[in-house]
Amino acid sequence: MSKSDGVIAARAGQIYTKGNGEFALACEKASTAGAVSQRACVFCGSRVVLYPVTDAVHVVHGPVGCAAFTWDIRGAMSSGLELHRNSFSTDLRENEIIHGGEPRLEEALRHLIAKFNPKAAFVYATCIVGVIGDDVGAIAKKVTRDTGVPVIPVHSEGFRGTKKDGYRAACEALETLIGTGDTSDISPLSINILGEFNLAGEAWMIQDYYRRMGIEVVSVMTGDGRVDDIRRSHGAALNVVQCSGSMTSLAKDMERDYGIPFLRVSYFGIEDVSQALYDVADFFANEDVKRGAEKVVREELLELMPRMAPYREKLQGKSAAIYVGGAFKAFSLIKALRTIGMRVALVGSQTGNSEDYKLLEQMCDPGTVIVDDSNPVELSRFIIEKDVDLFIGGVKERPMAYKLGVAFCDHNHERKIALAGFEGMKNFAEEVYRSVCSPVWQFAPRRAGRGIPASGLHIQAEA
Amino acid sequence: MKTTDTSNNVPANETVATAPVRPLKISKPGRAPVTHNACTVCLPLGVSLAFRGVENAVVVLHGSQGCATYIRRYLISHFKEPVDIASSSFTEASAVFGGAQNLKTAIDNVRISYTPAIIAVGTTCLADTIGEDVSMIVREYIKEHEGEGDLPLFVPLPIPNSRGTHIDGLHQACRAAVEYLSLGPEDSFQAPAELPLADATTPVGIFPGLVSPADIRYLKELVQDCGLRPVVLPDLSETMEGGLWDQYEPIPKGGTAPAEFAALRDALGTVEFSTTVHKDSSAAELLHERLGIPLLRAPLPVGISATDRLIGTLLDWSGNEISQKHQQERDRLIDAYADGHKYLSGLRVAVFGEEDLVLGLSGFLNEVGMELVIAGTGGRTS
Repeated sequence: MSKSDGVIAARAGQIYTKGNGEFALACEKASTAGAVSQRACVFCGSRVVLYPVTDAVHVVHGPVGCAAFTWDIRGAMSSGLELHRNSFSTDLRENEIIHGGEPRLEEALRHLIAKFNPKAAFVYATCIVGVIGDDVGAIAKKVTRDTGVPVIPVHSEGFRGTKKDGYRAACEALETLIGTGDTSDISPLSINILGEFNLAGEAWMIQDYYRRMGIEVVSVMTGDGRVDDIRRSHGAALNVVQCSGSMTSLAKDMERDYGIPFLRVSYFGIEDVSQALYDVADFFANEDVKRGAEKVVREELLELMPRMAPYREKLQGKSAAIYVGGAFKAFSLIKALRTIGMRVALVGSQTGNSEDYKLLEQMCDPGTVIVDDSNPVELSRFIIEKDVDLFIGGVKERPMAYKLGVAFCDHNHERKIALAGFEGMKNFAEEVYRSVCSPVWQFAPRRAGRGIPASGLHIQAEA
Repeated sequence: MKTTDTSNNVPANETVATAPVRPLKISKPGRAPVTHNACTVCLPLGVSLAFRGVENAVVVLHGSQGCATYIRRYLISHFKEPVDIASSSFTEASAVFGGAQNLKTAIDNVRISYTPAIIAVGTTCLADTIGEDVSMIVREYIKEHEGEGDLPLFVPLPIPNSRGTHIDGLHQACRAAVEYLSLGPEDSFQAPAELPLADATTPVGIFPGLVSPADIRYLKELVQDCGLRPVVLPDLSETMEGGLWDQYEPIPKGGTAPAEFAALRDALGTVEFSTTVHKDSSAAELLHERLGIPLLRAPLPVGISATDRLIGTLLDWSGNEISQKHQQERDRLIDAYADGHKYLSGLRVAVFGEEDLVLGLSGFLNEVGMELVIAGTGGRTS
């Protein structure tokens, strides 16, 4: 055990400052024990990807905690049913741990299917299911056979890797549905939107852009998701993949199995959302679609740009730290921050890979710190060292920023404000402005000290 | 003064002071075929929260990374305060071959990053199920690091997760904290906290269960106003509701201090706001068994009768009179009861929450003439 500045030796390779020697960043490793990683587990990865499928029941096969901690924690909106917002759990206890949880799972599934008549049931395997050896697949088959409702096992035992392995398990679960629906009436100008979770209604905004371009959206995976749409998604001409970390594996498999090519895009920031629409238009090589994309971008920018100017003026020259789940989001955020005049002093992600980090390094200014799978001790140290004006992250990072008197923008699953698309860029600028330029920070002890300033008024003793 | 032993006079169901208007039908604790929107979380959350209320302590959970992260997210979301909980970050190999080495590495790294005075080592479903013994691993660790000057105190918490909910975890962790930090464990592998008491006022132990930081601040004030020195465990009053920082605090200031753990040995009495948690999980019962310290176990003091019991007991112990401030507050509350009773009378109420909160609220509802028609808890106590 060696001590130096609170930095754990095993973590040293996962921190890099641009300009300090040749770029190298260790990544895609299991989290260091005791490092207080901001990552969750495999189960979390599966749960966040499948959560927005609104007309399925999601059954957590495991102890009550795994279900309770993931109950309705995302801002994924539905235009209809809201089955996904329930928390269903087999609530495994001592008895099942000793004698097996299969009977309880079977009973739970039959009960839920009879009660809610869902289009499908996802069963998430948690750590203990992996250890006690329940045959989730066999129960799923049996219940599917008896009820006609597809019961889909999700192999998401928490210890079997990282959140990314959970994404993979979720994609595999979706693949059991894909290819089972009727595709006869799908337009040749059609896409699936992958890796878009309809947080704060973002999928609806993006679908609207595509509709205006004359493109049919067959399915969104999984925002405002419907089982029947997923079943026929193999009839689309193109997969458009956002949040590449979670859904690229599905896009690759669909290319292999159904010959559907895919494009990677992002909808965050003016540059990226415009590029996404142009790329899709280029793919179809159709003049009407191209003109449609140009029209959408023109109309939206005409509306947006004047509204951005005041924010940009106030935010010019301020600095930000970014710590998010996937590196792909970080690319877009760096560009979006530049659009509003801000620079990035720290950027990191929970699950980036070496290609992601290479790209990040190219995008960043010298002196920028790049971190993989970081933790509160490191992140706080950099917030202070870099003296940033803004932190962009999720719930776990928020109080860290606030405690140090730093503004915060929530950019994770739980947010209630749409940040994607053109309108989202306006919301983003507004959100950042409201926090960075808030008068509350004038009282933050790190800048103002803790004491009550002397009033300067003195009672004059009578002469 | 230490002769007041109220433990025998406190039947577990004393909460509801007078008979309800209509007798409640008590359903036997049973299990639905599926748990739907459970209002309980898992036991390690309670364990983690308890040690957020202990000064300079860090919790390490032995299991998958997700357990620690989810509990952090949940607590951070609720309290809006940073909550760092370490994990031994199981991999597939640890699940197959055991995670002792991971846990030891985690302890090493926590010592580097946080330099805590106390490390509480909790367990999770996964570690329980594969038969990990956190007490043994901790003992091994202490042996391997014998003689290191900065070795923290350890509190191993081998509490099987499948046996209870977050509230059981909280109480059991408090009991373990008292066992290890006030009394010294029976198989003593480390000495308990030994520090002189800075304050000469007679200490009283308060085990409030799951209440808010503001509640804890009020309780402390109340005990002080009764002429006694409050020792609250867990003391979340500052750690889970603090100000902004001028520099980063890896472990937030506040929490029950070593001197306070030592003071519990000399407590005049202890108050525990739980009648539902089993004797074997109760910190108050432990101090009573080992040192004969008198105890009051009561539901959460909501309403006049329950609060009278609390204040009456404290005053009995201290021999003091009630302060003007609290007398006036009581007067104002009864005045509010009178002003509001017609609006509340006969209203039918459903209460859902932790067992002792439900009991406390039921007592209050009964006092103001409201009719409790459904009382539910997600708890597993009887």
